[in-house]
Amino acid sequence: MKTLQHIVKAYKRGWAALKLYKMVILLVYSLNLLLAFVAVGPLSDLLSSVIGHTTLGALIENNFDFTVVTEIMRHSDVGLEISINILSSFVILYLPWSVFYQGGFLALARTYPEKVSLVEFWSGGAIYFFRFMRLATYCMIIMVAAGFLAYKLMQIGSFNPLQWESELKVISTFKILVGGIFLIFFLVATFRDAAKIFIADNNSEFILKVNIQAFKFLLSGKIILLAALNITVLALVTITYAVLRKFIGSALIPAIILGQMFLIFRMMYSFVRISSFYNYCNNKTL
Amino acid sequence: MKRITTYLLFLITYFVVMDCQAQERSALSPRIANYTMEVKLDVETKKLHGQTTLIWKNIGTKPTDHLLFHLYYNAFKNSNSTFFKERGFPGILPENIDEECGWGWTKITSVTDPDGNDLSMNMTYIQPDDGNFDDQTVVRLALGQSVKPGESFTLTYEWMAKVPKTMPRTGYNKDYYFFAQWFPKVGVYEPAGMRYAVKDTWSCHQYHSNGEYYSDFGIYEVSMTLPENYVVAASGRQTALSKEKGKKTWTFIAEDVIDFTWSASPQFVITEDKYKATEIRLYSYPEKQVFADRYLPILKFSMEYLEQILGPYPYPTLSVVDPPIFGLYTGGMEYPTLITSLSSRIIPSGIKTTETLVVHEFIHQYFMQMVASNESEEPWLDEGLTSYFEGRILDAYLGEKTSAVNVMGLKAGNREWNRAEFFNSEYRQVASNIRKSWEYNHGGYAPISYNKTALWLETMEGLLGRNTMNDIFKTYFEKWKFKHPARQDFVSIVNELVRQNHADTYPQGFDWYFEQVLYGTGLCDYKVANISNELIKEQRGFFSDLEDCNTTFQNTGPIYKSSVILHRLGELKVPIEFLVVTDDKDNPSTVYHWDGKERSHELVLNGNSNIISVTIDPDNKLPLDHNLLNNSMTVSRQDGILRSLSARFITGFQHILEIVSLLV
Repeated sequence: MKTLQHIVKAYKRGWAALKLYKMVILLVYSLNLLLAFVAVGPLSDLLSSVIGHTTLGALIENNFDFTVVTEIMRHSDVGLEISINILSSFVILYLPWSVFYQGGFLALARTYPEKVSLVEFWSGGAIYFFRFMRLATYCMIIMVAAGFLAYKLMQIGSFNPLQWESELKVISTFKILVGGIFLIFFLVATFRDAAKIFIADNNSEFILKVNIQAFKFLLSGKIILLAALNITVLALVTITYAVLRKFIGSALIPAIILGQMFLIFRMMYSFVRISSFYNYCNNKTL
Repeated sequence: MKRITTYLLFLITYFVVMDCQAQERSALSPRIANYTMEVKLDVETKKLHGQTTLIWKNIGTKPTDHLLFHLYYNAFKNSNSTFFKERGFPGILPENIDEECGWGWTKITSVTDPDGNDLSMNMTYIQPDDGNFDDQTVVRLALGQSVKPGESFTLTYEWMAKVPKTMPRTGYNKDYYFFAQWFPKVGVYEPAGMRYAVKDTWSCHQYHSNGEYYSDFGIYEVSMTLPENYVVAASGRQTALSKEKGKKTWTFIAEDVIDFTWSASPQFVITEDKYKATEIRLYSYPEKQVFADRYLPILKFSMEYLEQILGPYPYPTLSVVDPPIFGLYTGGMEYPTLITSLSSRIIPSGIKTTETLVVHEFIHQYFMQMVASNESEEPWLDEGLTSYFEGRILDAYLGEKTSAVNVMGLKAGNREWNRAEFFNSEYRQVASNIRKSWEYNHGGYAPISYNKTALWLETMEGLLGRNTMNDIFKTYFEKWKFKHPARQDFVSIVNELVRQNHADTYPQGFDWYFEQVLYGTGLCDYKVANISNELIKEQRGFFSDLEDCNTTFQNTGPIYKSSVILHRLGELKVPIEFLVVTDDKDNPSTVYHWDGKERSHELVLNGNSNIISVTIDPDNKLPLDHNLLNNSMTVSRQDGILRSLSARFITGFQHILEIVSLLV
């Protein structure tokens, strides 16, 4: 019971810290918007050149139209390929930026309840960047390995339908493996965020030792409950978003406003998560 | 007692005679090849032992001294068969084919004529299509006597077959058996004048990788003996079931059909339904019985749809076998009164393959089963026509934008899907429609036989209207049911009805169209090349006074000279409609016509309004047009729409970026 109280307190403090740094969320959001704006530019130009002077645009403005979409894909293959490549490179670019801003979030969360200037965000991002990047790489390797293992386990039952006894067994196996992968991803992400706290607290260049500490901490199980609380709130908001999005339908302005609000919430979630982890790991709620 | 016996004998004789007369009256087809077969399946050795009595009628104009038989299972005898040479080896073979000996074969072990003469030594394998001496899928049997025109000949033969592990369309896997093209089947003897025959000739092709079958109509009475725990699905209606020493013998009769197919499994669960007088039976594995709710309603809808347009389904039964996942090679195939579909619980219900397959295979009951064209030589004539009706039925039942896919916001209609499949195929122009199925050796069999035919039939519908199309198909069906038509028979009916219903527009018929779409390989592409609106402010020069060179008339109101230029980029020439939208509030849009023959066409309009946009084929009557992006043009850029699309893309991409950030 006491543990649960601590978890809830840590979580509340995460939100309280966020109140002090609304501007940083706005900053991260603005950069996200700017990057998306730049990345989508070539695709918009392509569309403009292909359907800008036609009556086809109206067919895909609010709906998915298979014929129009396939026509665009078929008749603008090189242009489309280039646009997709540009989008992919922006996705890759966004990874280090995500590592950076989460370092900045942590640096700000550590100052709570004091409020510091946004310089702390930039310096925090820079200080933790390479260590967090290494950590993220290790965790991604673990996730890829888990995915590969699941693939291999699925392969034991064969990918050849001619050898299957029953589809239901395959579906059950698949569901179990997907569930397992999600669980592993959840645990790895929890470990990763806990490790970030330990890295910051120990201020060590070598992260292996702190990783072991973080892993032990993860095994204690309490941090998992806090991560679960974070995920639950995210899931609830996501469900609400999906329901509202369905309700809004194809209306452009409400859909975009709702989408942006959800996006901002997702960024706030990142801050609250790292902040609550920090509070919990440092027993600040005790 | 004696009087009672006499009375009973009289009654029995009366009913037998009446029954025979009723059967004679109800004959729907010429009944040329009639089979009585007893077959035993050994599930341990995977072998079939068969005894067949064939009564074959010579409908030719000359006597024949030999018969040709298909021995289709020999296609799976070894890697040297024409089937494997064309398909590529090992290709689709199961990984463990040698381990389990999954190869198959057929052998006629004895043949006797009505006089009891043994003809076993009179058999020779022949290869009429490719001369591949290793192929044993066609055998010539010399009869030692001639069968005169109009005479019937009775032949009794015993045969054995090793059932292959599921190859395309047939075989076994685990406890599931599907028997298609499984018995020695006589070819079609075509008299001079029928289809392409200039003299009496046999049509009996080898088993090819591409293409299907061709047989004569007849009656099949087939008894199948197999372990008692097996449930049998078969063509026709079940007439008897007997049990002896742990085995059951199932007897089925199928009348006026071109083939007989059956399937067996101890796990089959039967779901029954009915459409008018036709008993519908769905044979599924227990875990797939849930698909009955998707199969049966759409099947009955299809029966009603085709009944209204073509004519009623005349058979007392329709069986659907839904193979288990490990029998998927046998799925999606058509046989007389028995079709196989395919379903999977892995595939989301929004992907409509289950509905598509069952509808497609059912339509084949009309085009290839009743209207028995040569599937092997003219695949478009059954697959293309079937694909056309598949689109119509599925669009009518599931919606024209959702009849192929309707899952997570992604939507596609069956006809849309068909069009995309054709235009996305790299083989779309490698051959025309008139090739024999095995001649598509450089690709294109499916996109040209299925997709392209459906597309040009849809375009034909756009040009002639649905009513004329219905007339065409009804006439074609009525004239050619239970016969063997060729492409010219279809073309002639189209020409006749086009001249009759559209004398003003197409007085010469529709040969010009068939020349391009059936015999040609060209693409269709029309383009709006330019729109211009020129404001004529004044008029200058000599007018009434020939001495005054500088006369100038100022126009009192805005007078515009607007023009539209259209281009024909493709080889195909079809009449087109184009919609011109102007800023005239009273009469904003007008549809114009162009015969589409020249390479370009200009429309000039003088008036008080500007042209805003032009759209070729505004009602989507021309699905054969391969580029729809150039079919319309607007004078001003659609900035509002482009901004809206960009906004959606940006928001979507922002979410993708944030999802990515979860990884680190």
